[in-house]
Amino acid sequence: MNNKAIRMNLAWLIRPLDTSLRSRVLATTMVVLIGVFMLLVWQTVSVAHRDAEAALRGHLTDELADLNNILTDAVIIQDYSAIQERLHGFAVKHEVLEAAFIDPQGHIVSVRTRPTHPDRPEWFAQLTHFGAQAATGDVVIGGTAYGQTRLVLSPFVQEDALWHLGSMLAIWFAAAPILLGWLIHALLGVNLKGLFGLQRAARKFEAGDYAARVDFLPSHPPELRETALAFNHMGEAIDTLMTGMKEQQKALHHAAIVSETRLDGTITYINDLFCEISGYTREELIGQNHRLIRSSEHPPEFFAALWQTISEGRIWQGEICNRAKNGAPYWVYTSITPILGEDGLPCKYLSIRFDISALKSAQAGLENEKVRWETTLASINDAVIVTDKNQHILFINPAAESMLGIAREDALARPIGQYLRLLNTAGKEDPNLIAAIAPHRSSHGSWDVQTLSGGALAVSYSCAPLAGLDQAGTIFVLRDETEKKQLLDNLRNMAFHDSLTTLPNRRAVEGRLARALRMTSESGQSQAFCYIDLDHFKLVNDTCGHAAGDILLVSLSKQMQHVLPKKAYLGRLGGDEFGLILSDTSEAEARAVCAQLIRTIRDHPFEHKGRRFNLNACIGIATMSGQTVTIGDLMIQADMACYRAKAEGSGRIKVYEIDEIGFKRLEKEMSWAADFSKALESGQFMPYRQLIQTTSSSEKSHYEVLIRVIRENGEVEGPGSLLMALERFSQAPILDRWMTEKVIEYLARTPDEQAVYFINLSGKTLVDDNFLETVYSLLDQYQLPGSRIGFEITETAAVHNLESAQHLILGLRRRGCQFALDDFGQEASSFAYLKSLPADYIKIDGAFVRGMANDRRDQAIIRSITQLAHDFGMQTVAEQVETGEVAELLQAMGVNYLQGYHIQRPEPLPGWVNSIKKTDQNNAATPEPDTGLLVAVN
Amino acid sequence: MKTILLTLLLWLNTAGAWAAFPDAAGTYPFGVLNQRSLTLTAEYWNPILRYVSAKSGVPLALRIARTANETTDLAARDELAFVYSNHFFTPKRDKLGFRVLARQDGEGIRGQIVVADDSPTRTPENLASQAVAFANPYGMAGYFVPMDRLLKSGTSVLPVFAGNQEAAMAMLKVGKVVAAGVNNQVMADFSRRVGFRYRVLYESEPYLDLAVMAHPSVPDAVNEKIRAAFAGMMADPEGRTLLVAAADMLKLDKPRGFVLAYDRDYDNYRRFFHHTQVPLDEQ
Repeated sequence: MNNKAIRMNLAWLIRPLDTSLRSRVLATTMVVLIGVFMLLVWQTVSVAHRDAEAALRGHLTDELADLNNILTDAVIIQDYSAIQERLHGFAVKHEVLEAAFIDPQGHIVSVRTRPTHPDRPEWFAQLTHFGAQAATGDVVIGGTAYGQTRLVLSPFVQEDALWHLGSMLAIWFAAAPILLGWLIHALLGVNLKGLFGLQRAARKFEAGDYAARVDFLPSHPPELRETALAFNHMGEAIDTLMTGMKEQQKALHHAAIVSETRLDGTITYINDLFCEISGYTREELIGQNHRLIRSSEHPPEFFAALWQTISEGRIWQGEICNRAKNGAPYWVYTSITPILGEDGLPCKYLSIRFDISALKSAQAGLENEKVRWETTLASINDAVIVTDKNQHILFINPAAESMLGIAREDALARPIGQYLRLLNTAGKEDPNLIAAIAPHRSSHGSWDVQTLSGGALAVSYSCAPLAGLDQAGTIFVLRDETEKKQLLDNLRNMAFHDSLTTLPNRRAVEGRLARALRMTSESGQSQAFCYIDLDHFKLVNDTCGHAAGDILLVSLSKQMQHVLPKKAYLGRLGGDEFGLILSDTSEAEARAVCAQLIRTIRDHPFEHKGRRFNLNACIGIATMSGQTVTIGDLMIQADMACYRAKAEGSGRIKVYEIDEIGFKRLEKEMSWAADFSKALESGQFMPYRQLIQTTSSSEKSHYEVLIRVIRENGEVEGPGSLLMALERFSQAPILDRWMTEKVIEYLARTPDEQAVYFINLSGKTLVDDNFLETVYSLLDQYQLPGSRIGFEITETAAVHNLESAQHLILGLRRRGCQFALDDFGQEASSFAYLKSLPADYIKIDGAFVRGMANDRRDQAIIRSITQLAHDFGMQTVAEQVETGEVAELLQAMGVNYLQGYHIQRPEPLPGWVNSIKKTDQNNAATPEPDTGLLVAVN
Repeated sequence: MKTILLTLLLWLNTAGAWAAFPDAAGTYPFGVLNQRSLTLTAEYWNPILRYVSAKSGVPLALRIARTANETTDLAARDELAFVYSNHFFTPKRDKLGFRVLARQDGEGIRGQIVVADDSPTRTPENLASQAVAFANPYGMAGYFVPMDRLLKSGTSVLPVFAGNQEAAMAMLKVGKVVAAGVNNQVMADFSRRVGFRYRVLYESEPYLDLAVMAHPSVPDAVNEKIRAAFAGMMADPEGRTLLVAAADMLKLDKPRGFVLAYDRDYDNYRRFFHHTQVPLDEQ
């Protein structure tokens, strides 16, 4: 059976009910009301019946209790007459059928009455089934039973009450449906009037009048008003929809190419845009097959699939290249929708196309551009990684593949953090670093990267956000800086470390000192800086060579580091000098550390080619305790302390004390040394000479040139400790060069002078490689034969700088210069060095000479030295000859030359013109020769 | 021999004149003087008598007449084996030979003349020619003592007999009389139970409360059982429970047990009746 037949049968079935709404509502309401009322009557009567039964039973119980109370007194005193009387009174008053008392012995006192006639009919009594209600109760007083009472009640009262109630309800329930039916009929008639208006409006809508609306009044029921309002809203919505659809259709035809074809592809409809783009007129297209505009761009399979889709009733969408009438291809995005007939099969096709020729052209250009960029990125050495907004890799160039050790196929669409694994400062992989890159902000810097193979790279990076329609992501450019970083690290290490011992160098020590001073200033923490100077290290260098010295320094550095506490910072300041910073250390602790260090140095074994060397060290300590000093001050203080320690002997420790007199003197000397250049330029120095008289008539006498200082008050003084200060602070060579130049200049002016002028050289000058050239240059400049000058070097300086001394002596001797070994005899080892020092003269130390008149041991030493010198082919000079007796003794011993006050007091160099005016005016040119202030140099 | 026979005949005659106990129902009638309503009296005494019966083995049955006078008459007619009363100390009834067995524990009762608390009456003499309620003309504390006080002071009142003590008190409460002659204990109990405030115009010396008395024909053995059962009731948990319940019913402040009592304990009754000016209506 089809749907139509079902609908017809349904209409036939409901035909008998095809009556008006009013009749249906009325009929239904009446049926329901009558049913409800009948149920109500039945229910009410039933409830009333149950209540009446319960009331009757309750009444019977109450009456029995009353009867017991009434009888109590009479029962107690067993007054049966009173019992009879009270039973009768009770029965009459309460209209009971029977009231009785039965004593424990079974005697019965009973009273019966006749009830009044009831109102209810007999059939109602039969229906209610009440009947007479009887009950019996015990008379118990104080727990003692006195007998029983019995009571029989009439049901007439309850039956009449129930009868009256039922009668009244029946009347009311019969009248109620009639009244309600009339009311419903009237209300429906009034309230259904609005439905006719709705019917009229619907008919108009059906006829196409979308402006039709329903008028409704406030008096209409809410449901009808709501229905009418909903109808009106529906009408407005449909009206708006229809208007919108017309506009959309208009827009569609303006933007899209629309056509309809039959199932075989024959065109039945086209819009204007179709004609405009294809170049065909409407007449040329209508009735033609759609193949008319087909291009050769697509293979036959393409169209086979298209037809397969739409012939099955499904929508086909895609891009098609068509051909215009003029043969030019054009691209359209096409959506072909099969229009289905009533049988559910396609009956025609609706095509909607959008011209995308420009878009296709742009896409092609974009693709070319993409290829160019990819080629460019592939050719650069920097790694380039492009990510999307979720930091997933979109692109990775070959350099990045190579750098990170990954393949592009594996990396694409993976989180960048999976491959770009960044290391934190502790060298641990930290995913938070890459996550911290803000994708919307450019940044650059450097990273340590761990590759997949486990290698570590130092890379510089720059990353920038990629702005795009889809909030694209980030581009990372990485450059491998590993080699460069290693190079920089090495340079930094070299800048702050000693290349030989790998200890921190002077610069690093100064930096650490600055930090220590800051800490002391801020926290008051006590710290110490120690200046360590090795003793006898030069001996190793000179005798074993620098290579051995280097080995010793390396091993000694390690040993020193080994014994130092953790808070110690040891650095090499240069040569055999070390700096030690002790943090949070008191003076006593610093002394203890230094003492341990000295023991370590002293005990450090060093052997070279079978020779064993025992080193030692002196250490100067400068403490930091909050007083404001500079790094330079601190180093000078420690240096001075070390200097003082060295002065006291080997293996000593000295702590700098600002108020100690020795340090004050030393500071004064340093001040001298600092002001030396200025004093030299301002003419505060002047050369003196002292005769070295020959004891032989065949030899000529010589002079030793001495230096004198002109003080501010014009007094001329000996150099005192100035020379030691200059030696200490490496300024002695300047004075030596000055003196050499002045003497050569003087001798050049006095060509008749026959004496040889001996100039004192300091130990520093001996190691000055340029001094030899300077002397050569001066001799050449002043055309002076070298034989007119000589040089005195102390045996101590010569021994300490033996190689340099040898080099200098040999070099100057080649120009004819002579050499004297000064202060000979001060050190016991001097004899050994005589073989290595090709001197011409030996100057016997004045210490032996001064007291020799009364000391046979001095005489023996002088005699021995003289003999030895002669054996070596040298001549001897006795210094500090102050008496004639001594002079005679010396002469008798064979000493070749005498020098001292007895021979001649020092005097200014003849013709010397001092640049200080004041000095000129006073006594600079002719100082008092006997003044005690004059002291021979050396 | 002749003497013996005469004595035996006299004894038989005497025994025949007395009622035989137990009665036909096998019980010993126990009369209670009407001090309260019949129902209240029955509710109070029935449990006590059941207990005493059970403990003593002597079956007691409560027997009350409509009024106290009638109850006393029952005893006088030898219809009661035991009686709880103080009506048997007047000269004539004393000769009936009822013997005291026990009494309710307490200080004794006093006769009182009371008025309502808000009454203007201040002295018994103010009651002259006024209506004064009494229980009956036979009550010791409730009639004889207060009336004796009035008569000795020359105050003549209009006596109204209510039937029992509480009835007389109820008349005072509702204002039907201006004063009442009452037993002080019953008055106090009544006041506490019904909330009636009263004022005492006169109060007598104490007289022991009513006594449990035995008819002279009841054998001593039976009397002793009864005496022991009453006296031991308070100490027995079961008996005490009953007494407590009875006290609650009467709204007494504490339960009242029974103690042993003897005839001599009631001699002041006898002295009173010898000297009172109140006419004694003894039968």
